[in-house]
Amino acid sequence: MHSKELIKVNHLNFSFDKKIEVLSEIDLPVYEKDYLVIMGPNGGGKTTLLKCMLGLLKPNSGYIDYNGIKKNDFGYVPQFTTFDKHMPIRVHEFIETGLIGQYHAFKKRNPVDKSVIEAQLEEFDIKDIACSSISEISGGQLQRALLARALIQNPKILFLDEPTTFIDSESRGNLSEILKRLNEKMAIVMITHDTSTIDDQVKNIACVNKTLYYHGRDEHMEESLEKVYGCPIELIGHGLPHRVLKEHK
Amino acid sequence: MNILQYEFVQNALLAGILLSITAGIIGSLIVIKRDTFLVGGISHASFGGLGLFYFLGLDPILGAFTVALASGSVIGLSNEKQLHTHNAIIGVLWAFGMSLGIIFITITPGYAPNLLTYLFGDILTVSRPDIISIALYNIVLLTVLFLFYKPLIVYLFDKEFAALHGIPVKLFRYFFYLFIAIAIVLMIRSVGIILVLALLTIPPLIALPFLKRMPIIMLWSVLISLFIFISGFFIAYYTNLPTGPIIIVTGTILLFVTRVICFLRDKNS
Repeated sequence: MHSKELIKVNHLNFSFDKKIEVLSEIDLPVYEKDYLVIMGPNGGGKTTLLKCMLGLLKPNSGYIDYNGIKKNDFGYVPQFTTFDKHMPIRVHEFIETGLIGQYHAFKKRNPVDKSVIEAQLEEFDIKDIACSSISEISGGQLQRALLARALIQNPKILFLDEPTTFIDSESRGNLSEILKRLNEKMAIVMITHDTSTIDDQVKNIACVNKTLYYHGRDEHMEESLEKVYGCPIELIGHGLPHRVLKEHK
Repeated sequence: MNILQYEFVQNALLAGILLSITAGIIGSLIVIKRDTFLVGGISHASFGGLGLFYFLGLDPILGAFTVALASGSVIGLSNEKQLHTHNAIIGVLWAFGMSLGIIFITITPGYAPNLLTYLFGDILTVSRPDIISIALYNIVLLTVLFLFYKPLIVYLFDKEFAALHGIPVKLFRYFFYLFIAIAIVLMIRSVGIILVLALLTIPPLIALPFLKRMPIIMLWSVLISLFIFISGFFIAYYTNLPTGPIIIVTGTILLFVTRVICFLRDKNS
């Protein structure tokens, strides 16, 4: 039995310059407190789908239902390559930019509640680098700063685009812990091309390569990811818990 | 006789102080956004407009203004990706603008003005209306900056995040380049095309390795710009050398010295 749908993508099609079809007839639900992983090969349209869901890209056809979800309910942790790491901005100011959705140029401004930022610095264990420049900190620290920025407005859904690409394995472990904790309060939608990092807390999996195959939580464990990757994939594991997904039809 | 008693010297110094404010702020934004090449494109293209208006018997600076606004708008309306793929076009614009300007000035009948005046400007001929327009521009710039500083930083740093949180990214982009284009023309009038690039880039480049915050970088860029301008101005006066080039050489030497200091600092730490 599934809980309430927060977002529902319906028959979504997207192509760049009306020529190259990137996404075709996508249907995808995101449930309350869902932990949805969207995976697929590079260039398969994962990020495009995410950006459509965030409203950053306009689909050519199809529509997305947002059931009472507003833009400020989205938390977004982008890929490291989408922003300028050399910008002279300190970690605590960077986290503060997460509040930009509440900014009004012509209204009387209340001073930013420093305790909110303090709490985020504390929560993500980056207090000691609060005054460091974004360009000086490590990948794992930057990842936590990005999370702190995304979460400062208490979003209902947290979107993460390839969060494990530029961080070491220790930071991956930390991230996994953090996401587990967050998932008790909010839905998580995570993109990854790396099938080895799927956590055991993941509830639903969507495989995207132009089209989408949805593997719900109650699915029987069968077959492989062969179709979406276009080649047979062997998962190697030593006595680890594993999950095998149904064949795409 | 004290040189400060001359009205043209007073005007020149006043213009220099006001332009340092413009250059420090706009320059910091340009250097951090790595748009120096674009700015070079706009300023050199505007030389074409300058030549054309000169040929037509109109005010040359109005021609520069028209072309700068037009090219600023085109850049502001195109998206970042297009601009990166067609980066070389800006080089063409750069060369074409200069050539067109020189051709028009050459074929204009009568006495041909000294081209060097437009390339290096002549701060000593700055008039009161010039000073007033720079002052007005600075007031508007500082007001806009005060009102939109936070969204501007988010826009510069992470456009997607800005768009997600309702910042009108396209509008920001358009006005960003519009402000740059107007600043360029105001500066061409008094300091010339080449000094525009120098004054916009040298001060922030000096400030950047020492500082971590945008407002502080802007403030120090203004102060450094002021220092370069005033010291260059007096060196030029007492050595009887042209003001513009002396200001650039002073700035470049200062940049070199600070970079050496930086290098030694990093080596020892």
